[in-house]
Amino acid sequence: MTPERWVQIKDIFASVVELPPEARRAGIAGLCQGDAELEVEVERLLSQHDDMGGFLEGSSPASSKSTDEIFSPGNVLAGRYRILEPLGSGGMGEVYAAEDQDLGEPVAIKVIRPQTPFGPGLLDRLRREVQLARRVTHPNVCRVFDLGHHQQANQEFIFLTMELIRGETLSNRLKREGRIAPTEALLIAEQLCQGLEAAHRASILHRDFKCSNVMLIGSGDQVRAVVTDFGIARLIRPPDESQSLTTTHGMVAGTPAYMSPEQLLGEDLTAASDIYSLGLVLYEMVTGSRPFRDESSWTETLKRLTNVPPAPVKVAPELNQRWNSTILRCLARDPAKRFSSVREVAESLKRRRGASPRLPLRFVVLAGACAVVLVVVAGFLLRDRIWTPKLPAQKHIAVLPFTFVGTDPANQAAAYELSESLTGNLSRLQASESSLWVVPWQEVRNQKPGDEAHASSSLGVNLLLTGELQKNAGTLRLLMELKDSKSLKPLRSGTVAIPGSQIATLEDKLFEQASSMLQLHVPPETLHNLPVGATTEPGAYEFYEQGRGYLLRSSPAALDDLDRAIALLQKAIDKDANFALAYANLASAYARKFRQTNDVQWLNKAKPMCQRALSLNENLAPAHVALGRIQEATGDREGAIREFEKALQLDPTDDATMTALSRAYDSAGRFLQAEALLKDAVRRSGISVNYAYLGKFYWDHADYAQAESAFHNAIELAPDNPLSYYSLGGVYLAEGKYKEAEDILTRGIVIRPTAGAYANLALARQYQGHYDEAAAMFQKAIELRPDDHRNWLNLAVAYHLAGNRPKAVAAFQNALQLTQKIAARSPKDSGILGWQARYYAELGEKAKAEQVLASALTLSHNEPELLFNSAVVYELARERDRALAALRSALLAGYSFSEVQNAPEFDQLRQDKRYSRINGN
Amino acid sequence: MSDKIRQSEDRSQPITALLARLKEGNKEAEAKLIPLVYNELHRLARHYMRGERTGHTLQTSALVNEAYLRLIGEHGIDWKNRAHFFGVCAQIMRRILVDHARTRDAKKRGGTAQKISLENAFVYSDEQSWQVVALHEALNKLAEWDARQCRIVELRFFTGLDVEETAEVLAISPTTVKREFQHAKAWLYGELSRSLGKEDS
Repeated sequence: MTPERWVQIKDIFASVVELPPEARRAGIAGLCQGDAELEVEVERLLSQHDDMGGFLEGSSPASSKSTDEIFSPGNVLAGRYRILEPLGSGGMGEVYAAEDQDLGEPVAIKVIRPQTPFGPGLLDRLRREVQLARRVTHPNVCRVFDLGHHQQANQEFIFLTMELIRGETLSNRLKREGRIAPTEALLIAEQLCQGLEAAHRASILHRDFKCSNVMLIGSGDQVRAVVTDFGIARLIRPPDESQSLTTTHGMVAGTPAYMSPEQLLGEDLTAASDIYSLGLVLYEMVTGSRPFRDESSWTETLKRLTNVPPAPVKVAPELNQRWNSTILRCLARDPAKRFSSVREVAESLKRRRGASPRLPLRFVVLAGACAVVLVVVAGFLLRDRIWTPKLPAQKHIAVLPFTFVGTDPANQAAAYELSESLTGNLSRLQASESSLWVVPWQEVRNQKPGDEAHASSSLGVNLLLTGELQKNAGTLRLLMELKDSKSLKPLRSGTVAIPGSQIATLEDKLFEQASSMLQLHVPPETLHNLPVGATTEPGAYEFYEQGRGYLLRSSPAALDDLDRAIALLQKAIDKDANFALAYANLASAYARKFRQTNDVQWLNKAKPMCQRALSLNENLAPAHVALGRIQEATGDREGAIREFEKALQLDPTDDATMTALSRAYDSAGRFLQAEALLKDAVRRSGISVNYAYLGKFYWDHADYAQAESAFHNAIELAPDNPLSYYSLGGVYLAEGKYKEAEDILTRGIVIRPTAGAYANLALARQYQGHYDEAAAMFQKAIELRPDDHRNWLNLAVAYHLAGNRPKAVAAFQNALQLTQKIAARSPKDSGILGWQARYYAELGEKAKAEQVLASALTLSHNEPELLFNSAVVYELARERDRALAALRSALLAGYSFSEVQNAPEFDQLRQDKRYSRINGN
Repeated sequence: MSDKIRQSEDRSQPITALLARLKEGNKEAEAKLIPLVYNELHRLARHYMRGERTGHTLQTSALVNEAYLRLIGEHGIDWKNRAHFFGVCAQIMRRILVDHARTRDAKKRGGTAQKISLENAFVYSDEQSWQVVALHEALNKLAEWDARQCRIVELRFFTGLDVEETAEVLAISPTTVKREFQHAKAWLYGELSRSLGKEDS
């Protein structure tokens, strides 16, 4: 072909391509003037043009024009469904009203366009989605009945049957009316939330929520809204909407105009993605347009990735603040910053201005939160306290930390570890022994070894197992006693003695001994001579046991224990280079060290340890936990989740893994899974602590009603555990129920005074205006836990409110010193530096404050708490512009608006005109 | 954070000036822009494509837009300037995607040419690496016959410019863009169908 020929073909093609077939033929004949070769070239190009469908395009004019219905009234599909009338063309194909002749009921039939590319996998997935969707029965969700096949004229049609809804799509309504007035919009929004919530509860995501998937029946105050096409629409996409072939592979989902940022980037979807799409639908419903709508359609989508949408109230000035803020929060680019559930969206829309719980100062609440966080120790449900002089039929047991006779701290650590491993071994028997309930180690570890008297009611047990480790002349001896938890009368006792060289068998021997004391049958497969991943090197095992003991005991306040654990575990490995468990625990210790110091060298040390442990034994649960921790620290949330899931699969009895997994789900935005996991734990074992975990989860999500009921259950099941009392007290505070808070906290303090309980009680007094009393109680909290800088901050604020500036200054100075101490050890902890900067600012040391803040902000610039603290620093330095900017960033990062509203530092700033702008008002 | 903003403001000066010159038809400006833009785009692409997960998707126009916002910011630039910026990006994006696709299992063929579609811009995922390579090869052939058509496809496919914007970049009428694109598509479709058919058999 010559270039001239190319141009000739191009010109003829262009002049005939838009013509109908006959005219085309005539046109070609005329233009080619008998050049048969030219005709062939043009014809070929034309036929390619007609075949190419959506090739290189989002839409294909050829296919979207074909609106001829496939079926006519009277046709019967699959011998069962008689077509009544066509209802139009839906997202996936033709929609008909039909009669189910078997049941005599009307149904809607969606015939999937025959040209939809159908792979075998797609049909399977469609079937699965239909199975899932069928589980949802809710008045605001269009019910899906079945998937059917129909053969006609050698063509196979696949269709879905679903509830027949005679109404109008929201997108049509908006096309007709522009926007919907707030009163009616609220009714629709509530129903959409209810529908989505019902599906989310059944673990079904919509994945393609948009205005054309909402049916409206009636209008005004009688309006009913129904969500259609749950989970299905994304699988079957008509050619004019397939934004990429990824859809045909079923990978990418959704309509770009309504897709969440994470969906656009091809990441995993969660309930938060539906919430984002819901935000867009609400936006469109009340403003009549989507954000960035005036731009070209791709810009619209992209801008959502990079820009903050304009506040709805700017588009529709009659909207009130709750619409505005609710929609904007749904549209947060970071899924974690959106509402955590659809229900919260509905609640936020309904909440009247001013009726939202007024939480005073952020740090004050934090201390409350902190108190709750520390908590959750509990015990067992005493279903029936059948008590016999001998052993009870229901054995609710706690293994208390064993003691060591002597002063060698390493042996004390080893004794501690033995009681932990015995707890783990005994809890493995729970699966086969329904009468046995073992308190998880995490709960017992907070008990003081000598404090047996409290154990019965605070842990909710009827049996206690105590132990004493002795070591003399190379022999290890462990004396165990099984006691009635009330009378502390010994019911059984037993001794295990082994030569030091056989220490590795000690755990098993203890297990055998303890289970015989408890009259429990131990299935032979449960008993293994060596724990998985263990060693036969006697010295190695001793070091391991001591090291692990220190690791279990270590806490942020006891960093030395962690260093000891690391040294001992390293020694264990030096003795036995193939000691998988030691590697796994060392990896955990390093990962913890990293969390405390933020120094990446520890992470680099942890990784090879973990790899080594897994290469020695890939089914070692602790190694997977350690790997999960490492991945968590590097920000790989999904990786961490995979490892925790694997660990939990390998060892389903491990409570610590369960809570780690639920937290990992939570921070990855997979709230439903986190909740499901915790609820499942409650179902499997309705012990107090599991309710407390669940309560903590709801607390974190500001779902105070649910948190309240969970902590109530926790208290009922273990009435003497003081920690559940002050957790509940914290919840009451957040709900503004100060009297209830005071009651429950006082009860908790009677059982055992704790810093958290005093702090929460102080807050309750402070919120009611009793500043001096509040200060006095914060003092008590400080006596019990003097090293928490937030206690000092709380005290400073109480003094400040009481008008006692000198004492407030002294308290701020103490808070500052504590943060300096922590910062000296963890110089890369941006959060601590933020607090430190703020304390400098509160004390009037402007230059120091700015300097520390600058270094904090180089480490991190999107933590809401840090941003809030920096806003305080700027405001106190009278740098209003920067304070406003920082506050805006803090709010965008998810900081609570009501807390900003209540901060006394911002009393003047709130008068600033620009303040109303930063929250989108 | 504020440092970053300042940085991009400083850097945006020459880019904005270069874009203005490019708009006036100065071809040297393009040569100067390419390395500046390439670095940013390449860095972003790597960022989005790294990680062990398979099945990455990448909305190419999102990437270009992000590069644009990073290098120039969102204020004071009219859509024509942006179109020219995207025009510079199209070839770079093509190069980045092809390079990346070739490191993947680009030999794996499946499906038909119809499946190469886009909603305003191509969404790349590793599963479709073969398409990028196939389209790239077909575009090379097209360029021999009709360089402008090749450019139109690049602009529309790799950065998602619409007809108006493409017309602005190439300084031709939107009608011409539409007409040429239609022909280019039909031709490419034939080319790709034949090459895929060969692979299948």
